[in-house]
Amino acid sequence: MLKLENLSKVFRTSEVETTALNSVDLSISAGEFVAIMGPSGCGKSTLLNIIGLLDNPTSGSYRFLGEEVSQYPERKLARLRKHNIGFIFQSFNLIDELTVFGNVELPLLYQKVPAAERRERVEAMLEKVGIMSRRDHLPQQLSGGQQQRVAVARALVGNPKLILADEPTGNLDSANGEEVMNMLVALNAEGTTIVMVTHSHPHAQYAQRTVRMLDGRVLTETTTRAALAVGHG
Amino acid sequence: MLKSYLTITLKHLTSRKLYSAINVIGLAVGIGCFILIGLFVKHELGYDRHWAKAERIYRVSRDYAPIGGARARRPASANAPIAPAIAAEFPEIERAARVFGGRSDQAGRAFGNRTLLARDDVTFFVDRLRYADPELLEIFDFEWLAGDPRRALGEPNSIVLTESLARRFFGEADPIGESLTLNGQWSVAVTGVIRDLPATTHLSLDALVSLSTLTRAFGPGMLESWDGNTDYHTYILLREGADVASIESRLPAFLDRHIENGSAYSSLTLMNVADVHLRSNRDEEWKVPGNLEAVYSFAAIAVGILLIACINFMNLSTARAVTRAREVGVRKSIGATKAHLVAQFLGESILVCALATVIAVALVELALPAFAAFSGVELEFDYLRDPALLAGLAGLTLIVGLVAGSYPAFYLSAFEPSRVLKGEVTRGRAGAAFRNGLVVFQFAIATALVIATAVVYRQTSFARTLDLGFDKDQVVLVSDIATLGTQWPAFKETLLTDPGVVSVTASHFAPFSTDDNAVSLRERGGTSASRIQVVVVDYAFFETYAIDVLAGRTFSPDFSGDPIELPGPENPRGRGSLVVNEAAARLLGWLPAEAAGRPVDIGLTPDFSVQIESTIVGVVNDTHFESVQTAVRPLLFVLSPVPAPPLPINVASIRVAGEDLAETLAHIDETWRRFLPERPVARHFLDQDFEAMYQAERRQGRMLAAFSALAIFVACLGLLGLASFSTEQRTKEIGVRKVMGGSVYDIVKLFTGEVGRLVIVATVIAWPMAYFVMRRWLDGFAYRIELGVTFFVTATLVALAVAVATVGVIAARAAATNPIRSLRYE
Repeated sequence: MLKLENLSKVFRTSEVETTALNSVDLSISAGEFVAIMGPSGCGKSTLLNIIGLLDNPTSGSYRFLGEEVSQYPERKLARLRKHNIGFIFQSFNLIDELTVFGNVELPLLYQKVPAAERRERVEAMLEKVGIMSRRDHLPQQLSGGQQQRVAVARALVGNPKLILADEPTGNLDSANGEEVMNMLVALNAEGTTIVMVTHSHPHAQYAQRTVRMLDGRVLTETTTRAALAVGHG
Repeated sequence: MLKSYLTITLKHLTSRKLYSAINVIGLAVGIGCFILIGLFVKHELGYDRHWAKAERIYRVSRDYAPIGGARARRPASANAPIAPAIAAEFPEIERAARVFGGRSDQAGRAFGNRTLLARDDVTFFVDRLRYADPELLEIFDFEWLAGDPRRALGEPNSIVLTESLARRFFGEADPIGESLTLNGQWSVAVTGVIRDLPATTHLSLDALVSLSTLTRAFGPGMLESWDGNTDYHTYILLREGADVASIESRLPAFLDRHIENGSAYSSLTLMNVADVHLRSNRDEEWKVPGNLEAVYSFAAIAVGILLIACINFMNLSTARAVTRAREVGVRKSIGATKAHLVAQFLGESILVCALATVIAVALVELALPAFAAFSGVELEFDYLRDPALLAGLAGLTLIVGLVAGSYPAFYLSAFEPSRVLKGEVTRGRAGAAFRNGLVVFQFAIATALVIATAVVYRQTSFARTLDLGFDKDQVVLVSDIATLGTQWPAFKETLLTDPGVVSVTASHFAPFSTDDNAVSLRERGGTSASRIQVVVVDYAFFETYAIDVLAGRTFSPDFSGDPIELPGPENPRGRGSLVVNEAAARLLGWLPAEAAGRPVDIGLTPDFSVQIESTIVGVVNDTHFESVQTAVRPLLFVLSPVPAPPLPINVASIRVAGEDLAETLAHIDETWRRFLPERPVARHFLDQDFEAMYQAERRQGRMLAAFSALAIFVACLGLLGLASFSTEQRTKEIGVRKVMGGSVYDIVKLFTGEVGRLVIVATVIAWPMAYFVMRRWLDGFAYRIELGVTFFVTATLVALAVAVATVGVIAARAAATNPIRSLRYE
C-alpha cells in the first residue's frame, strides 16, 4: 500500500532547525492495522501528516499506491487524498456550521458525487455508525462520542483505501473510546487499511502491528498478540 | 456544493452579528457613497452626449487677446456674421446657427435680460427666451411635441415654446397658431412645442423666437458687425468625416478675410458640445459650468471611501481567521485544493458584497433628495429601467467582492491543515503587521479628507467675510431701468420719499456681475495708454455702496462738467469727469493723491482717433465687485445720470434702512407700477447674487464634509470591529494584567496606545498628500487663506480622538469585567 524509504522531515524557522523525522523506513501493506506510539514530539503526527499527503517530506522517498509522491504538488496530493484517504482526528474537527448530514456529505461534494447517490451513501454511513437519528443536529448538540462517530462516518463515506486516525480516542471517555476502537477493528476486518497514532497501550493492542518512535526515528516494530488473536479469531 | 458554501456563509453572518453588521454596513456605506458619487460623475460627464449628432456639433467662440490693462476676453459666443460666413466658406460645415439672448442666468437677471411674454391678460417674465436661426433645429434634435422643426423658425415672428411654458399659457389646449405678445411690442405666432430640455445640456432655453424677428424690427445691420458684440452663441454641424483640425488651421485666414488684421488680436475656437459643460470655462455661459477637477476629486474620494470599507472587510476577515482555520484544515484533509478554498472565500465575500449593495441601493434612494439639496444636482437613479446601470451595480459588487475578498481568501486558504487540525492555530499574528498597515492607510485617507474639508470651509468663509471694500447688505437691485428712459430721475425722487429708502443710485451693471467694456486711457500729452474697464454710474453710487474716497472727490450735481458726453457734431472732443479706483491709479503709475486732478484722454478706439478729454477728479478704494478668485480689476467710473445709449445705466441700487422692509419693498413696487404699469418689476437683493457667487464652493464644501464624515465613520466601524476582536482574543491577557494589579485605565491605555500610534503614522501619508492637493486648489483664488499647520494638526487630532474613543470604549468594557471570570474561560 505504501512504502517510506530513508524519509526525513526538517522544520526550519529563522533561528532553529528541527528534525521531526530522521531517515524513517516503513512499509504498510493493504489490509493492515498499524498503531504508531511514542512520547510527545517524537514525530508521529508529522509522520501521519506525510502519510496522509497533507505535507511533503524534506527528503527521501514515499511511494503511495505505487506512485512516488514525495515531490507531488498540492493539486495532485489533494486529488490522491480525496479518493483514497479518510482522516479521523482527536478533536473531531467537525465544521460547526454544518449539520451531521452536511459534515458527512462534504467529501462526496469534493468528489463530485451526484446528489441522489450522495444522499444514499451518507444515510447508509450514518446508519452504520448508529447516528442516523441525529442527522439534522449540529455538532455542538452532540456528545463527544457521537461527534467522533460523525467524524468516522465522514472519513469512511468516500470509501477510502486508507484511514488515518490521530489519537481518535484521546478526547473520549473509556466507554466511547472502546466503541470507536471496535468500529475501527470492524472496518479493518472489511479490508480497510488503518494507521492510528495513539498514546493508549490498550488501544494499541487492537492493531496488528505497533511502530514505536523516538526523536524522529522508528525504534521498534512489534506484532501484537491481540492483533493475532483478532486476526485468527 | 453551493448549498454547503451558502449554509456556512449564512451561519457565519448570523452567528457573529457584530462583525457581520460592521462588514455589511461598512461596505454598504462605502458602496453607497461610490454609487452616489458615480451618479454625480456620470451626470457631469453626460452633458450634451444625447444629441443624435453630438459628435459633429461644435460651438464657435471668438477670443480676444489682452490689450493693455483690459483682460483677455474669452466669451462662449461669437459675433453675428460668423455663422453664415463660416457655413458658406467651409465645405465641410453642413449647417451653422446663431442663438442670441442672454448670458449666464444670474448675470442675465442683473442685466435685465428677461423677456416679457403675454397672452391676453396673462403675462410672464421669461428668463430664457432666445432668438435663433432656423438651422439650429437641424443641428440639435429637440423632442418635438407639436410643429415642424423644418419650418418652425423659418419666418419672422415665430416662437417655439417648451412644454412647460406652453402649459403655463395654454394649459392642455393646442397652442399651435396662437399668438403671444413679446415685450409689449411684437406679436409672435406659436409654431412648435418641444419637450423641456434635460438638465444635462449646456443649452438653456424656455422659448425660441426666430432671429429674423429681430432683423425685421431693427434692420439687418444688427447682424453685420464683425467686431461688435459677441452675443451670438454659434453652433456648427460638421459633415460626416470632417477633419476638425483642418478647419481650425484655416480659421485665422477666415478671420483675416473679413476683418483687417483680425487674427492678430483675436481667434476663433471650436469646441465639441459634449466638452462645453466641463471644459469650457468661458465667460458668458448660459449655465454655470461644471468643474472637471471637482468631478475628478469626488471620483477619487469615492474610490477612497470604498477602499476604506474593503479594508475593513479584509481586516476583520483575516483577524477572525482563527474561527475559520479548522474548517480550512478539514476541507483540505478531505481533498479540497487551495483553488477550491479561494473560490469558496471569494464567493463568500461576493455574497456579502451583494447584500451590502442591496442595502447601499436603498441608502442611495434615501440620500438622493438630500444630495440634490446640497449639491444642486438632481441625479437620476432609475436602475430598474436602465440595464447599463444594473450591469454596473452587478459589476461593482463583483469587483468589490473580489478586491475585499482577495487577501482573506489567499490568507485563509494558505493555512496548513497539518497544523490547524492539531489545534495549533496561529492567532493571526502573522497578518497583524499587514492589518496595521491597512489601518494606517485608512486613516491616511480619512485624515486627508478632513484637512481638505477644513481648508475648503475656511476659504469659503474667508471669501464670504472678506472686506469687500463696499457694503453689499440692505441693497435692493431693480433691473431694466433703461426702460424708464428719461423718467429715471423722477422715479428716483419718488423712491426717496419713503423714509425706508436711504439712497438710490444706478449703474450699467451691478456688483457681482461682470461686463467687459474697456477703453484706453492715457495722460493728456502722454504716449503710453492702458486699457481699463468702464463702469457707468449715476450720482450717489459711491455713497450708496459706502466706498471710501482716497483722494479728490466723487461725482456731484454741483459740478456741471461731471456727466460723460460722447464726442458729437457740436462737441467734437466730448467731456466728462472720471473717478478711478486705486488699482487703476496704480496701473497708470500714480499714487491716489497724484492721480486726482490729472487731465487724461479716454480713447474710445485703441488709436485714440475717437476720444474724450477728461479729468480724474477722484480715486476710490478697491472693491471686490467679482469673486475672490479674480484679482481686483482696475476700474474707471463715468457718470451718466440718465439711461441713454451707448452706455446706459440699467440697474438701480436702492439702499434700504431695513426697519420696515416689507413696507419699503411695497413702496418700490408701487412706484414702479406708477411709472411702468404694463411691466412687472424685476427686483432682488444684492446679497443673493453674492451668495450665488460662492454657491459652487459651498456646495463642494458641503459634499466634502459629508463624504469625509462618512469616510471617518467607515474607518471607525472597522476599528470597532478590530478592537472588539482583539479584546476578545486577549481576554486572558487582560485578566492576568488585572490580577497582577493593572487598572482599567492601564488596560485602556495599552489598547488605545496601539491605535494612536497607527493614526500618527497615518499623518505621515496624509499631510503631504493633503498639502499638495489643497495648495493647488487655493492657487485658484487671487485672495486666499494661508495653508497653515493648524489645519493639519487639527485634522490629526480629530482622527486621533475619534479612533482612540472608539477603541477606548471597547477596551474599557473588556477591562471592566471580573478578571476571575475571564480567566476561568480558558
